[in-house]
Amino acid sequence: MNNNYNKDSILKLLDPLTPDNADLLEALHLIQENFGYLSKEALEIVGEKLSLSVAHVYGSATYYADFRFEPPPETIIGWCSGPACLLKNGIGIRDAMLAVFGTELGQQLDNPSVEISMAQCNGTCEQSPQIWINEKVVGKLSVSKAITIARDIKEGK
Amino acid sequence: MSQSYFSLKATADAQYTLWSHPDNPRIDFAYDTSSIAAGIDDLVDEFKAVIKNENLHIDTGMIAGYGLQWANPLIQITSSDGTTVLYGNVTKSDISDLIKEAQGLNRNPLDITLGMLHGQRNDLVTIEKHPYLQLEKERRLLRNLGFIDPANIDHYIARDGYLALSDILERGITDEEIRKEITDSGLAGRGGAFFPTGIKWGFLSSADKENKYLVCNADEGDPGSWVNRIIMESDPHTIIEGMIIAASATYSNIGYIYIRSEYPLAIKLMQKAIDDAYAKGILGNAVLESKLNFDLRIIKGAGAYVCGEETGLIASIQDSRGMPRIKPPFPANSGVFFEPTNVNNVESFASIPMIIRNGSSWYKEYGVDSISGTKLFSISGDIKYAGIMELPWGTKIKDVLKVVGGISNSSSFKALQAGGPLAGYLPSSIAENLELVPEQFKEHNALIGSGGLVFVSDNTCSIQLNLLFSQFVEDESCGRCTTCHGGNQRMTEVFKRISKGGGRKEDMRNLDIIANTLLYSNCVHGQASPTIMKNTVDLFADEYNNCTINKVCSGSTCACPGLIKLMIVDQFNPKLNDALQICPVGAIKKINGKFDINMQDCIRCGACTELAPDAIKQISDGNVYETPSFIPRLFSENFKNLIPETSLITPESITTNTKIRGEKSLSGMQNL
Repeated sequence: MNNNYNKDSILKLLDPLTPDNADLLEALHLIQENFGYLSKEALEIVGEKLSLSVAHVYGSATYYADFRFEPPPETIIGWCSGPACLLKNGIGIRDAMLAVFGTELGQQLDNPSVEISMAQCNGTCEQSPQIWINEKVVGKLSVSKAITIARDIKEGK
Repeated sequence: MSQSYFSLKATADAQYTLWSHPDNPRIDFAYDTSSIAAGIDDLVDEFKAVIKNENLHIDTGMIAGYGLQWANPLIQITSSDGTTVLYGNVTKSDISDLIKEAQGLNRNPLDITLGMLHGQRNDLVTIEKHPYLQLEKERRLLRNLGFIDPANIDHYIARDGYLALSDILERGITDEEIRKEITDSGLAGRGGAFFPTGIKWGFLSSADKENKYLVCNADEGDPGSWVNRIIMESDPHTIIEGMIIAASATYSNIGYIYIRSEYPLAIKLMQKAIDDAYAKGILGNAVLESKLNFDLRIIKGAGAYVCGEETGLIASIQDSRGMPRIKPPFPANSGVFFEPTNVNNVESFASIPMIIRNGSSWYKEYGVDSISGTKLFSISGDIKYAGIMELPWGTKIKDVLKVVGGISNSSSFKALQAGGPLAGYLPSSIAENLELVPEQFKEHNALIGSGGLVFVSDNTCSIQLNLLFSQFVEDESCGRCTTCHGGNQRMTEVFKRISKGGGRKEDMRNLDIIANTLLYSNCVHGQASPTIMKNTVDLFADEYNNCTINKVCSGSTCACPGLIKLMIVDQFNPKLNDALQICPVGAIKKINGKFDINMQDCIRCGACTELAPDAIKQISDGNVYETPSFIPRLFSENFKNLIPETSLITPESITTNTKIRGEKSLSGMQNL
């Protein structure tokens, strides 16, 4: 991930994009992929580049669940909210992990740097119930396994 | 046949013959989202390391899995004589056996063999005989699954890919003839609305504008449906070919494929396919040296379910919040950038080339009177074998349940939840007698939707399931219609209260009012959101009354938290110590040598019953048990990060019996 979050590097990234060309989502994805999140300055630059008001860019970006507006934590635990996982006590897995960290869904913790966020079904239901740890699937979970995983992360293992 | 296609085909044939009859035996790894989840990457590394270290003459490659998702990781071995064998549930311990198999040194078939994909061997059966595939009559949409490398355009062309396109361009088949063929075939929009595709194209065709847009809706958001992903990951070119044919039938010149961001591999493979098609002159100006111009690009979604609605999708493409709007105007009049636009589902586009190639009567060989052809279904839930199947319309649901291994864990079939959170929820007594036909679902006020079939066992409480779905719909509402965002909030509140033990007699009437109000929403998201709730109240009346009035919940792995109690039934069971250790909230205590569970602290996660199933039992005895307080989720995750903490005042945080947020580790929890 690029930490050099300055105007030139963002403009370079957005170089091929043009106004009125269905490029807004692409711009936001590009910035998030490279810098990890969308900063206020980045949204301003996107607006400038695509001839959109900053309010429009901000309004659109906040509509979508994918975008973050502060640097991401080291570990993101994605909790699958799909039906196959829910039938197999996905709720128990979610609540137990939240309880281990004393947090809530989508809340970013500093120590350890972790967040449990809601993720959507992508059709690997043969692995249900499952979570993603930094996008890697941990499948065929049980609540006790999920608690052990969460405690290990909490203790920095 | 145009010269251009002829030369493309000749090159492709030569390549494909070499690939299907390789000099060295080749091991192909099924590479799709499911096999990645099953750990194929590690397996590929190990195989390659062994082959390199031992200096073996074995090649490796990539393939789309054969669709037997439950058997991932899948691999295929193709020998130089052209035979291909499929193996499933492959682990690292199988590597040496499989290498021997590739070298032809194995005498007996391995027990991980699933069947022959190509060619014959006396000791092996063909894959079609596999019990899981007994309901599949013929793979049409999945015809290339297991037979091509999806990242290789030549493989697609060699298997008659782009032949239909070349044919219509070469023979000068008119747009009207194409649309007639599609209409005659009975192809109906596969996104779940089942509007005749050929007729839909007619609307766009008659629009008189310079720029016309075609949009492929690959924002497959319904949880439990992943059929579009399978097509994109296994045969991306068939979608592109379908779109180009649609372009020539509607005089469109610009295309978008809107793919949800949850499918990164599909995005990668579709992008590769588009790049390759441009390089071969199949996309861009003068498609296959004809007069047709068509440009195609991918838009990557960003995690908004309601963008699957066509007007929401269009808004999202044109740089705005992906909020659906009122129709009319319909997209055929005013769509992307207010120009005439046609939105079709992935599966609809993927069906086009084969209909043009083989004719509408061939397509109608399968199906029923009201709808023809085959359809992909993704099957999951409390079953043994989750995966996808290509089934003719009209297949019996009880047969489907049989081939997927029945309901797992010796529980029984309770309900079928088909087609995502807006579609329906039918009890087994009805579902067992249904065929996969949209009209039959409609008779019971349910929808078949886009192809997800979730089989629910009696471990699940319908009320709790309703709560989960209504929270999903609430969360994903775009917020435009008060009826939808407010209505679904109220519906969620009612179900949340019932599941905490606070059900009241008038809830039935309240839910009815909410359902009627939701019908006045502008788009299908709001209108269809009470479907599952209405099915539950109508068809699961006993269960509804039990949870609401009698305070008895029948669920186990998915139950109403306020209606269940955990009891220690065996104080001397040594596993109780494990349960005490695992409890994430310290609700289990050992006082004076005696174990006890404090239900006021217990979050009903089920970890203790998992570890000490004989010592701790879950009961529901008609009493209401206090649950730890949860802050309800009123704001979606990102939005919440943007508002200062202090402004997060929720109804529950100001009631007296609630703990203050942050006071205990539990107090911040949401009850989604």
